[in-house]
Amino acid sequence: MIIRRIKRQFKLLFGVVILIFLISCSIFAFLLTAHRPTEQNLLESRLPPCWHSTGSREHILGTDYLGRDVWANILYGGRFTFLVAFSASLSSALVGTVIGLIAGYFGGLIDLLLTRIIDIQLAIPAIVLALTIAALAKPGLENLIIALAITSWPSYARLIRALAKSLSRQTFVEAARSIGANSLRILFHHLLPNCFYLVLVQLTLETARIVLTESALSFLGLGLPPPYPSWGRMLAENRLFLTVDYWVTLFPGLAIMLTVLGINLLGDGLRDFLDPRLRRML
Amino acid sequence: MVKSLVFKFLAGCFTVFAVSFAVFVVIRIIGDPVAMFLPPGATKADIEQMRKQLGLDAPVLLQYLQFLKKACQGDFGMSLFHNVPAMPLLLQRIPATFQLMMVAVFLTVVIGIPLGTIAAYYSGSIIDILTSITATLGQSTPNFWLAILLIQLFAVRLKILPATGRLPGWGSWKSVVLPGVTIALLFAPAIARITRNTVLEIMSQDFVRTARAKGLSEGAVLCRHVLRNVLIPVSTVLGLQMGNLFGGTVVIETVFMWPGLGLFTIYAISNRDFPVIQAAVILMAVFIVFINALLDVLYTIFDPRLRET
Repeated sequence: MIIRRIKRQFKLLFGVVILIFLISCSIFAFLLTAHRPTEQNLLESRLPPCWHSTGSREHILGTDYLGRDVWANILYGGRFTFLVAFSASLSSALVGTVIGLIAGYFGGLIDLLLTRIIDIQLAIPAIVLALTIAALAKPGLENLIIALAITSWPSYARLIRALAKSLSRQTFVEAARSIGANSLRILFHHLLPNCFYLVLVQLTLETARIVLTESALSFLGLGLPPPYPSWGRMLAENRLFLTVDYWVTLFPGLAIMLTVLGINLLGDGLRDFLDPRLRRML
Repeated sequence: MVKSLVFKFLAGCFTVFAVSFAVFVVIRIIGDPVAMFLPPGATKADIEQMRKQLGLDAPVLLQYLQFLKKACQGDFGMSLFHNVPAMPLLLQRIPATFQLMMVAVFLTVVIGIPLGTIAAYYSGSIIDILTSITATLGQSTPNFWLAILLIQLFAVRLKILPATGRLPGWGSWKSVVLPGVTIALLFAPAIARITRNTVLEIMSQDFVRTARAKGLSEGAVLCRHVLRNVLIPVSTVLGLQMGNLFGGTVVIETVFMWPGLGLFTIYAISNRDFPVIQAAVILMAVFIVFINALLDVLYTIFDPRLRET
């Protein structure tokens, strides 16, 4: 039992350490590299990482076919990965939670409508939906965030709806109502605090999924447009050399994986730490 | 039971219709198909004419009703890019996608369920810990990246499998290995994790103790009492993952240039070929809804208790 508890906390700790490391790397990118992510130099293109005999000390992780520094692109790309993922998951959590609360508390027609909409979204693969929206809308930061948020809000709405439904039958809600609290107060003062843990855990797990979807979108050419640096697009742009220059695929992919791993560990750890009973629900 | 099946069928049909409506409206709200088809210098009159030609000048609801009427007769409009009917184009791609998904689901189940069962049986052992670590890693790996790494290893370095494309005839089974394994490697850990948790939960129940107490061998307890009860939660998760699986195939097909539904949809999306996008999303929705309905029927076979209600 004790070993298990330590193992659980270890997950949380490990996740936090990975994330702090990655986020500070991308924030202080300008201290860690002298290169700009967009800087091209055809004379130094396709250089291998510095530990190869043909590599250069100037470019720690080598360069791509246009001579762009891989390390600089990973550092600066992280900024946009985190920016997009956090904005998309925070906005979808906000929208999804409010809609879920309303549907669960009021029930009736609103509830029916909501469950139908969720059914519709479950029948469309999230990535296809995100791709379609990203392709049709003008490419850019805001539209990418919106496209990702649209694929994500139903997961909150579904969870919170179920919880709000069962909570609204409990005595404390009835008590609140009997002392004259209006619906708005019950929703946000009594129900919302009880949903907080669930939203928090779901938020981390969804952020991990959003990072993966965003990188896939970028890989398919429908993510952030150039000149924004992007991990997924690095893989796509170097497609012709993917099989020869391993460093242009390995390192950006590792960056994505490490980010998602950190967020997943944080989410898993948080879930076990806050409430082990949630294991069944999420 | 028949009643509930009919109800499920109707609910599924409703979902498909709703999907078609949602996609139809969303495409017309966000994107302007006309703008994609005319050169940048087109005059206002040109745009208007094109709009009329494509029937985009009518109110959206009217357009949808017209689309629905034709769609019910099997006509989903012409592909703007290929200039042939959209649906047959997509249907041609189904065998390839079907082959890929069958291989992927088969491998996922064949790897995931035994691995999860072993992990539960020896919970706390090295196998259990390794399964849990690979499950976490599998959930964190971008699928296209894993695909590229596998291509580099098996096709470029070892040269034992074709890198991309789909060989004709029996050769297609050789080319399906890499994309199929890629998808399975990402889904099997999740299935293993669910299986492990369910097996652990079931093994602590009274009927398992009874089965052991009456002298059944461990194998019989496992096969006849535990695994039967594991099937329902695991297939529920598989059903819920269907959308993800389809999404995964879209990306994987693109990396491997696998000539299936996913690759074709990606092309349609990047060409803004909206009749094809519409038809593809509806087709995927039909599959996802159908597979989930099929699983509902399977539950009643796995679990006789569900037949009563």
